[in-house]
Amino acid sequence: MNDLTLAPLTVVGAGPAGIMAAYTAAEAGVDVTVIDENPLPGGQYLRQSPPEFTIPDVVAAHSGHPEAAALYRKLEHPRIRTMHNTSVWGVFDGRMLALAERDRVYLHKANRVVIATGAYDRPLAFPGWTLPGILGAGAVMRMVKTQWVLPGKRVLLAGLGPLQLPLADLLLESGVEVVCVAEAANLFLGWRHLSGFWGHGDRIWEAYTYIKTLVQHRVPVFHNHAIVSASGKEQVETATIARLDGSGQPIAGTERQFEVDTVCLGYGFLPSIQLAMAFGCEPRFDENLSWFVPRHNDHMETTEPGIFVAGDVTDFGGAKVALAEGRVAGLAAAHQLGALDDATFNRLVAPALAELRHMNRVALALQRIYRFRRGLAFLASDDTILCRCEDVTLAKVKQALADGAIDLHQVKLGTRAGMGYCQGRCCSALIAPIVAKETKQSISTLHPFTVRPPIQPIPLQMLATGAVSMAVE
Amino acid sequence: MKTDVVIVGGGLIGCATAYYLAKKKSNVIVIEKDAGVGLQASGRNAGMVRQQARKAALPLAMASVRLWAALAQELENDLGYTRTGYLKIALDEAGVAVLENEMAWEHAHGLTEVRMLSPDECRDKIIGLTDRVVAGKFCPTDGIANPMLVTPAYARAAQRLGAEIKTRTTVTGLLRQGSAVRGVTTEQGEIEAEVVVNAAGPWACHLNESIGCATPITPGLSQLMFTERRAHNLVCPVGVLGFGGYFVPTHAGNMVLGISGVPNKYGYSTRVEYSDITAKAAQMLEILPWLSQVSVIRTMSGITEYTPDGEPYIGAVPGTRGFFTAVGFHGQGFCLGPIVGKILADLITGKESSISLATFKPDRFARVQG
Amino acid sequence: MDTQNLRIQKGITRSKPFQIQVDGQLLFAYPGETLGTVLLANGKRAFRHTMLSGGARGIYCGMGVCFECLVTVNGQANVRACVTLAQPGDRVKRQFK
Ligand SMILES: Cc1cc2nc3c(=O)[nH]c(=O)nc-3n(C[C@H](O)[C@H](O)[C@H](O)COP(=O)(O)OP(=O)(O)OC[C@H]3O[C@@H](n4cnc5c(N)ncnc54)[C@H](O)[C@@H]3O)c2cc1C
Ligand SMILES: Cc1cc2nc3c(=O)[nH]c(=O)nc-3n(C[C@H](O)[C@H](O)[C@H](O)COP(=O)(O)OP(=O)(O)OC[C@H]3O[C@@H](n4cnc5c(N)ncnc54)[C@H](O)[C@@H]3O)c2cc1C
Repeated sequence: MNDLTLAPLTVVGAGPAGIMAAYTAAEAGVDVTVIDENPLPGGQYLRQSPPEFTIPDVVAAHSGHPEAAALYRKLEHPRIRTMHNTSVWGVFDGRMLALAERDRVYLHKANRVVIATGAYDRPLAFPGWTLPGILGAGAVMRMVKTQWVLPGKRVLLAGLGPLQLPLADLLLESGVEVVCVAEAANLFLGWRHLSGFWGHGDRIWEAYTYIKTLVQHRVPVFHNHAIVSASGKEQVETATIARLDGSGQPIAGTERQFEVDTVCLGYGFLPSIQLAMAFGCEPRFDENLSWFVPRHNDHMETTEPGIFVAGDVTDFGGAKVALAEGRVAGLAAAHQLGALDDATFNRLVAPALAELRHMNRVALALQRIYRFRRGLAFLASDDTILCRCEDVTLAKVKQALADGAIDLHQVKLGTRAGMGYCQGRCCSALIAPIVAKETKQSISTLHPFTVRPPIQPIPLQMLATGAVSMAVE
Repeated sequence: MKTDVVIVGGGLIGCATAYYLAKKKSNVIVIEKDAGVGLQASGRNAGMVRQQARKAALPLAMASVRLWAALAQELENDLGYTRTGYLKIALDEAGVAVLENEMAWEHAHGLTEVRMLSPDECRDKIIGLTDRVVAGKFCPTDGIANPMLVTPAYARAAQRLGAEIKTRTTVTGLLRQGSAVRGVTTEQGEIEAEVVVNAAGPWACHLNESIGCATPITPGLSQLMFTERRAHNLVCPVGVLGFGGYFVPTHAGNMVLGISGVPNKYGYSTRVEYSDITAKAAQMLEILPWLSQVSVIRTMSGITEYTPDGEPYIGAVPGTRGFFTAVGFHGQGFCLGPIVGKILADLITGKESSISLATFKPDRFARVQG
Repeated sequence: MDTQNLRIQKGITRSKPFQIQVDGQLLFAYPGETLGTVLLANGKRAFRHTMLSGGARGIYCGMGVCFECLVTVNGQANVRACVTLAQPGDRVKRQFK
């Protein structure tokens, strides 16, 4: 398996952040291995349609990413080798990466690593949220943009954040009826953060064009509203939204019900921190996100020396921030590997950091305007499922707490929440606020679930191939 | 602070002992270093309540299984306990002789329900079992329970009877007066007690040694792989002679694939080793080929305790007043927990043990200078 | 649901379709489509009932994280429909109780 030996720099994730980190390091003279579980590069935002679909360039450009193709081409750099269809499923002995490629597993020693694993739709638990037809906004975006299929015909968008508008726009353009957009942010309070947009006129213009489309299609937009329940037999048939009070709790009597066949939940994203945690990187509690991200310094290095992060896995700023962070991480890794001397590194990293600061101003303003509102964590009723994998309800979690559990780990042992396929990716951020409230601690003092290999399920047959490749090495 | 009995260690042994003592109206404090009870081996084991293939501890195991039968009722808590039976198989003729010897021992102790199975009978029980099986031995009264529930259930039942559980507190030494132990020191201060029980599992040795009683324990790493939940043919736990691994169904529908411990290889770490899980996965497919497309979704590990003769240390420490220990349970502490807790409570309150503990004397190995 | 035109037509040309079987029913799939797409395009939202509570589930995260869209493909249970490409002749069963 010698051809699969990892280069001095391993980048996990071929989204904007990972590609830029790899390219920057390669330009500095470092050999790089890029690993991504998808068959094609691009990550979430720049995800490509399958090659079997023919999409005229005009349309591709219109759907948002004239810059995408240029980015993919960066991976053709002679110093970069990309392993597609390969996931990293564990970290052993501190620096050994366990990889799974199609039907085989391997173990390889990594040197420097950039973790650019991105993020996934943030779950929001309310009565009825597990019904088929209720999907994450990211899921809908991917479906429409890359698989060219519509999620349904009558869609309600509920969420928190600036991605709701382009999504509504996309659905309307594709001929879907959008019954309403429920935006949970209190924009009245948000205006004070708008100074962050100085010098970002393009972002304001972008927002304006989206709003124009909504107005044209007469789509009602309810600000300071959230989805509070959904019902249906085998799939969603109605969805109810309500106005929120100052803390983000729904106000009784303000409910409005809509007949729908699809609900799209866009309550932001949670970072894919599993790999960083598996490396032992210390988490930091982010107040706006109300969840944990890997802690990093100015040069994107985590608390584990030589392990860097970039992009959505640690800072939610959109694709441009991801690119800027990827550049900084790539330079820092190249510097550590001796490819850049101190002077050259300092000369190159200064403008990259300045660019990042500029991007971060608007990112931070957006994060503050759309900060996760506390009340949204308490929409579930006793029989609402919090852990989808193990069918664990709010009542069961409360029982475990009444029985003496005082942290996430003990709730897990008492209820099985977080023990299923997804290993708590979906439920941990739903359960933590409940634990914090009932035990009167701050969420920031809780620890996310321990990450244990495999971070993705591995069939036994496949695991068994590791025994063979060990013998060969 | 002052109490009747201080128990060091909030594992199954410590919490069960606390419960049976509290039932006898003793004032008990359990001291646990972790954030909760049962977070070490007691909460992360394979959950087999097995009498079969026990050596000296067989009478204890049989008595414990009698307690398990009514335990959920007694503790007012679901424990996931089911008598699934347990199948032990041999893959060669030498193994058949081992199984037959075990059965003779088991029958002699009154575990008469154990019987040998032909290869066909084994494969009727576990559909899709390897055709390399030469013989099997089955005990219908063996079973499984949910380790995550049992220790907390004992702790809560003990608390209802007035016991106190102090978590996040580490015992650092013993308070002594002449030949008597009169309490413990912790990082947060002293706790005086008439009686101290050392149930600190693999971390127990130094407390025992501090009063001159060597209870040698070597830590070993035992690893578990959890499969996805799905319909499967594993109707009862299966152990394979000389294989170093076992297969256990769980209540939730997942399977536990256990990798037996190796003493001293990894010290006190509870990590999972890539080489161990991949190698064992390959070997396990030879025993149950239908596992090939079943996914492993989680792995974890715990420390098993190795003693020189493979038996635990249970009882009063001779030469010292007011000091008891129950440690070194290797792979049997989950099954034995209830009966050991009950016997310790008896001993502490001045009652004889109904089962001989001669083999388990804490000072059976050389005494050290205290 | 009226499932006509759930596949977007404007701006895309697909290659020649093939057939797969879903719960015995023959459905068209286009090269490059995931099983999740084929089911959704045919108005099939519920993919399974959970083993524990029996509740209906379908696609939720759409990127392989949540394991809600599990189906049985050619006898192999618990396959994620959202990240698995449809192949000619696939026999798909939804995991209903
Ligand atoms: C629906 C949606 C709409 C968006 N709209 C906009 C927008 O309009 N403007 C904007 O600026 N931003 C937008 N974003 C945000 C943008 O997508 C992200 O900021 C950007 O993609 C982050 O890039 P990244 O490289 O950090 O992560 P990603 O692009 O998410 O890439 C992460 C990659 O890591 C891979 N990976 C993860 N874990 C592993 C593993 N264990 N092994 C192997 N590979 C792994 C994944 O497969 C993925 O390819 C949107 C995001 C979504 C989901
Ligand atoms: C992977 C694995 C599988 C197993 N499978 C089975 C099985 O199927 N069936 C079976 O019968 N047995 C099984 N066992 C064995 C069984 O789990 C143990 O024998 C049993 O749990 C021991 O219980 P304990 O209370 O003595 O130890 P522990 O659970 O280790 O409890 C000791 C406690 O003491 C605490 N402690 C230690 N030092 C201090 C201190 N100084 N101050 C305060 N607290 C302290 C520890 O934190 C710990 O909580 C298995 C073990 C493992 C690891």
